[in-house]
Amino acid sequence: MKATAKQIKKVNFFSSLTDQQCASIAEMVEVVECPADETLLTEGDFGDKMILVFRGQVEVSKDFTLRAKDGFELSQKPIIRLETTDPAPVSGPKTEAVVPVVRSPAFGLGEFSLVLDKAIRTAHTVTTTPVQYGVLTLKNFKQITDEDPTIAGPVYFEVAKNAVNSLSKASEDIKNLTQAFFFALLRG
Amino acid sequence: MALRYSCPSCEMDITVLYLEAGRKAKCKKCGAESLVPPSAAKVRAEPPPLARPATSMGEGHALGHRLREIIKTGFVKYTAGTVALVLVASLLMFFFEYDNYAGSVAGHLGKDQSEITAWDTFLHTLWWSLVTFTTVGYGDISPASHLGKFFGAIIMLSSFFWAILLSGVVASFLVEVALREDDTLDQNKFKGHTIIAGWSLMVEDILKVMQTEESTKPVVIGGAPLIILINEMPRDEIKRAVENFDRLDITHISGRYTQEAVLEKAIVDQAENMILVPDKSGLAAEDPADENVIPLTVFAVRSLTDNVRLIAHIANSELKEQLVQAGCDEIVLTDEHTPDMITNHILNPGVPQLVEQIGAVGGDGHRLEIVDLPPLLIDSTHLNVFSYFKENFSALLLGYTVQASGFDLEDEMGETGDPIVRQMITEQLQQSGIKLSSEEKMELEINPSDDYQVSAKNRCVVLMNNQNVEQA
Repeated sequence: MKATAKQIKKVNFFSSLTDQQCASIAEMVEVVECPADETLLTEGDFGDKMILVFRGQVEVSKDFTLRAKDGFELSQKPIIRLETTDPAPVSGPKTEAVVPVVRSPAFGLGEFSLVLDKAIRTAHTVTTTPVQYGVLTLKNFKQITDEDPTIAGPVYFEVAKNAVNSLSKASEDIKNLTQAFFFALLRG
Repeated sequence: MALRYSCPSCEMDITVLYLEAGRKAKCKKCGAESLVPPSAAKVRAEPPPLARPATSMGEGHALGHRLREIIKTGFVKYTAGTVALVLVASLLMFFFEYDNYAGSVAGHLGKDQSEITAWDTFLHTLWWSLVTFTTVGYGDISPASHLGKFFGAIIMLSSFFWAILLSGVVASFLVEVALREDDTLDQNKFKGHTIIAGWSLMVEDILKVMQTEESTKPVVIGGAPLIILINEMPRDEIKRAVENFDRLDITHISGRYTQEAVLEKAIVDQAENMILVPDKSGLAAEDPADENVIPLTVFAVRSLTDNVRLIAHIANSELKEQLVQAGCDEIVLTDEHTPDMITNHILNPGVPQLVEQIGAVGGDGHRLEIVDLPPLLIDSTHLNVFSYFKENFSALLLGYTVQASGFDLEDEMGETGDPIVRQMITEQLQQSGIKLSSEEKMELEINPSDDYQVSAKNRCVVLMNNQNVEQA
């Protein structure tokens, strides 16, 4: 089953496109359904597919090396949950959220795949409810932008905005970690 | 005090207690006997580990604690050894002197020897063993055969030495407990006190300065500064050394300040200041004190409390960094300013004399004082505060000490970055026992500009005429 132009428009990366442009993207997006506990993206993997979640909730988590009783251990820490509101998930989440849940009509994951053919996945994404999602590959997106170059501008602007936000947050994280590192050196 | 020298046979270090040069000592490693040479180094005698006081525990816990202490001292070990020796002795007699003892017990019980069982005989040998071990020696029975007498002689000699050992262990334990209980301080009394850890001539000088400082103040009943001295000096020597400091309330704790139990006994967590000086107690006058233990002590104190202000006096400047890292607040280096003073006598004659005069506590004439900012002048300018001191007390305001806020990691991070990363940082540091904030630090602001804003965190560094101190 193909996605609809309406579904595509709900994803913030494509919200400023015209219905016609959304329809041409929708034609390239195959809709898939999966149950809860399905891994959509794995941190550290490379991929050229952007995931468009039309219905359901996912949990985004990252790997951290943390201090354990006997040395260090790799621990997967949840960061955020993303949930669609239009339509809402078919059922409640399988596990209670311990992190904030951000809600939007629909959302996209792995948007850097629209820029690079081997974009690194920066976090794990696992479904917490049954999820209906579509996959947009870099190859398909290039094909659409070749046919209609006006699509590229608004979409890449949104991708760039996300990248800049992530970069500024990462820079703050580095500052905090560096500060903590020197603090620990001094006090430890 | 102990003496240390190398074994002439195996070169192993031998440390002897209670022996003088010229006496014989035995090497623990090779067993060779040698004379303690006159050149043997004088070293600190390691005191036996002291038992902790049980004052803060409940009665039940205290009893359990005391029992554990007794076990630790070797009391149980020696008692078990005694029982084993008594049993071995009675078994030896049982096997080598059976007929003799069976005959004797038959006589005691008024029975024929044929009626005497092995159990009767064993009990009789056990009786002989106990009578011999306790050196009572009734003489009702004794070994008759050569072999029996031979073993009897060995048993008698070993029981003699064993009894000495056992009574020594019991006596030392009782003395140790008595000493410790004498030292237990009143937690309600000792709050905001000053601890002076270590002993050197410097300590008497520090006390003299404190006493002089106190003499400028009106006498307050029960208000004398509380001072605890921690060192290994003999009590009577300390008593003599401090008897003239009648304006100071001085208590002596005997022990090494590197020991956590001793620090706890000095109620370090309720102390306001702790001065650490290289400890010369237990050493000969010519022996240098070990300064390397001072950073370790600072670590130990900081593991107990962050509240006490630590001031360390050292001669080795290489320890300065370690002390800062360990959490020492102030470090005073011996002779640190001597090169400046000497050079200033040439370059700026008069400056060293000035420094000497104003730096001395309780000296005549002018001196430096740290006084609170008058409440009315909070949020005023330096020029106003300067004029206030000049006009009211003819005093010269040189600058301020400022309580600078400590560094707080959580405040510094604020809301920046990923909250999960922030949470991970704080959790990980806390789990590692690292506090997320550093204590307030004192900074100096000398001769600031006229429009410098003073706040409640400022205290004034004022050059006072001694006559005006009371008024200020």
